[in-house]
Amino acid sequence: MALMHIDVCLVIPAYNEEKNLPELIEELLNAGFSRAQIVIIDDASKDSTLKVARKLQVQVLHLPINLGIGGAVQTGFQYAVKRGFRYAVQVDGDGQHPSAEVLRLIQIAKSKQTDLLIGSRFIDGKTEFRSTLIRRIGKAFLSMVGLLVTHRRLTDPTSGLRVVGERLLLQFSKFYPCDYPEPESAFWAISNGFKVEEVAAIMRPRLHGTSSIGIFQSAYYMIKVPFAILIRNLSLRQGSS
Amino acid sequence: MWKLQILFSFISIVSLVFVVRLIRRGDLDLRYSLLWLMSTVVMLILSIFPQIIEQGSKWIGFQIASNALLSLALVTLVLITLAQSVSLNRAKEDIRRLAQSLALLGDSVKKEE
Repeated sequence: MALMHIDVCLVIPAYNEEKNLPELIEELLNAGFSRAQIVIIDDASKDSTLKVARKLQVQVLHLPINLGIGGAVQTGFQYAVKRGFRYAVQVDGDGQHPSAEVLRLIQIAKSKQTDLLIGSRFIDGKTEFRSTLIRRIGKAFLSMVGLLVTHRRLTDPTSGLRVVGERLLLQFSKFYPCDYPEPESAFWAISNGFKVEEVAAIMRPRLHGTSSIGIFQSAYYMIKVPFAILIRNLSLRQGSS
Repeated sequence: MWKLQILFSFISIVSLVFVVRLIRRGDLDLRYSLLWLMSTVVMLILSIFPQIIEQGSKWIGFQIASNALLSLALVTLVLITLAQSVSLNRAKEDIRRLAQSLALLGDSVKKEE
């Protein structure tokens, strides 16, 4: 079954994820993915992520300096393009994305021929995933900004579980935001005529450690990302007219 | 008045010499330092001939000459800061691309081994 998906590259950005990686890789291998299609991008971790990743005998890219999640994921996309993969799935290094869901999303992306398929935690009331009130407000706000600018509603624009198709992959390998890239790139894809869809997906809480986003970062997030969505789309309209 | 003239001429000359020295030592790229050079030269000219400011500010409509001077200084500083933000951002982008190609190159090298 997984052999059907040999054209899919699993991109795993990892910053200080030494504890989560072994379980995650084992789960992916059990689901039928091969070592050749899994690439871990070590974003200059301070712990032994690089050593752990190399031991797992999957593909490992080591960034000499910390670029942030966007820069790391983009490196994975560049790798996927270079090696001729037709799809790339971003799978977060913290183990939030179950393999079964990754597999299901790949199948949907292929049958629907989407350029970007986003696994949403908030469609269908399938939300076992508990989030704080503030985060929910923040996400609703982001959705609203995106809706105003692109006239499309995304229920979960910050989701990290995404299947990127060949055409968009090429774009993302050239341009991808450095920090908090998910909402900005999703709405960018929409306003540039790529086929973007959302399907319900189940996610787990992190296996180990805490989320990388604290209070100050949240504030920065809520100012930076809506701005980025606005500016990208406004300048685009000028350019295309 | 002449005391001020001498004081500021002195300060301008010192900054000019300092900037030129930085460029000669290679600590300051000539490309990005033209603004600094220009502003020190302008400062020197204005210190020697303060009449320029007085006449100019009167002509534009400033009530006090010092207001014109401060506005000029403020605008210059803001422009320089903006230019530096741009070049800093460029450097950041370059570093990002470098790091990424290094990571990808490491993968290719490993494959050949």
